[in-house]
Amino acid sequence: MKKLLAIELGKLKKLNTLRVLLLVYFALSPLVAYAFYYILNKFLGPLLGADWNPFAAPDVWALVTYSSSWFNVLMGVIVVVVMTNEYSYKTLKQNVIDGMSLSQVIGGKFIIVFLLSTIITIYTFLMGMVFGVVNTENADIWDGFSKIPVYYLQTLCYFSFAFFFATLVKRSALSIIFFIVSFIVEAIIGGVLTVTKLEVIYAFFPLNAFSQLTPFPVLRQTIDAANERTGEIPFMLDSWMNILVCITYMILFFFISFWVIKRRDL
Amino acid sequence: MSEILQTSGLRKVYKDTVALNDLSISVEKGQIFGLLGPNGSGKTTTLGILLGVIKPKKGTFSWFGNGQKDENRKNIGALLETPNFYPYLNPVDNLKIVANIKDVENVDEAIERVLKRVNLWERKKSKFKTFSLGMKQRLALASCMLADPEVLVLDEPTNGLDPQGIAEIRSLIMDIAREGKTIIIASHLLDEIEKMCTHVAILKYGELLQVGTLDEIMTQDRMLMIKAEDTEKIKAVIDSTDHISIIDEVVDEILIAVDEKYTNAQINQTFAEKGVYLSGLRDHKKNLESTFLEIVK
Repeated sequence: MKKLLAIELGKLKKLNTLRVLLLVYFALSPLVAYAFYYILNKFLGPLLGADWNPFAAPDVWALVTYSSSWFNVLMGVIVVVVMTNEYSYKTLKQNVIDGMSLSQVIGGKFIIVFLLSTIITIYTFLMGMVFGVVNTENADIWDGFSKIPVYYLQTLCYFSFAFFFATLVKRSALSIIFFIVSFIVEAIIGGVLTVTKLEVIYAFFPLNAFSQLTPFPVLRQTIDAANERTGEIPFMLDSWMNILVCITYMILFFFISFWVIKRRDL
Repeated sequence: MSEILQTSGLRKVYKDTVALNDLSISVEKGQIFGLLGPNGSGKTTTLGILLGVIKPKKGTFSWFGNGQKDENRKNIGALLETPNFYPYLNPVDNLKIVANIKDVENVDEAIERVLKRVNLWERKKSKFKTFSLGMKQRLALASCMLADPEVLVLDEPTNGLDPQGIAEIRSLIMDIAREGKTIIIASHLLDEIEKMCTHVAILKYGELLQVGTLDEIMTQDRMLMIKAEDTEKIKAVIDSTDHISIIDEVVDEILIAVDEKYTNAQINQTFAEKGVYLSGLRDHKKNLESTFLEIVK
């Protein structure tokens, strides 16, 4: 395990793509969180009372995880790049030639995926702490903290999806395109299903299920408000059911990737 | 002598082409074993199977009498097809990864030793992607030697290099061989094999045609270089004669293989009886190239 980590970090420590994307993430995600704070405050603040503050617990956790989730596609691109690099440089093959087993090679990549998820989750947690401690007055800062582990699960889910495309397609550019296009395709299908009143099915689609892990902050209130206006309640899975669906997809994507790599020639 | 490699009935099929059929060879310690054959004869497939990156459809192999364990490859230095490294890393960082995989001790020392040996120590800070093909190939050799393995497996190690590069790589390999390491080398460059190898296996369309020491392989039929006004007529005669066969056409001469029982005079007579008079007939000193052409024809 330690050895696999050392090998993988040796590969990544001078990878510029990784540095740039992580820096973009670290720099932009607080700004985006602040932007959502501003919007919420401006448009929902009046509805929710004068002393309501989106940056105060418990809503701060929902807010930072929701805003960070917008970067999951970008972080997914890191996963795609890290994996497809090994194919385009033929280094995955060379690693095996040099003496690694296929399981070790795949294990090393899983470690990196988990590490990346851990890093961005910790960063999001720190963001929540900073905004939360400054703004929370009447509540416990840990109130609503359960959003953080759920966000961790969400990053892993998106990365399993990215990993799946990378191992299947093997080429960087093509995998990135497929990865991003799949979001659009799923959204279009979702739109059609919603219009035709089949949104129950859409709720079980992987990317939709993943995104529901970190729903829009104060979603319940928003839905109630919408309900009051139009009388239509959008179908949503119960959060535990949604978590279960996501975990199932994550395991499925990782397992298929593992199986594909194990099975084919390098 | 102790056994380094044993294969038994290796077979690989791609869609409906048989890339390798029933390959059984054994390599012993200290041999320089050449795997020879035209492009597409199954050399790289064979090495890919032995190095764990291609799954055979049938058959087994065993390294060091220790089966097909992944661990075995840590004691093999291998270069398959192309030098594969991380382009954005310098040679030291690249070799550190290999050292980690192969559990090399005293990593920094080992890296300095091999990089000096292949004359890349001065370029230790340059990224791999700035290297010329010759330098990449040399780095691959350095990587092969890093863990001081018992066996080197080299696939077309001089492919795509200029004459100077070829000479450099070749003398490096000869150097390593002198240390008593076992080397398995695949190539279609016959003089390369002839200059280096002690043992040779010849493959064609995935079939093993011949295997043995270089001397054994070379004692095939005698060879003659013949010449006549009308080469078409010569060919017609050869086609109708059992103990003569064409190996190669060289400008206006034809290289033939003849059964050892026949003398040059008898051969001349054979042609004369069929109405073809040779204007030239001389013994051809055999080399691996002509032998190879005879075997795979």
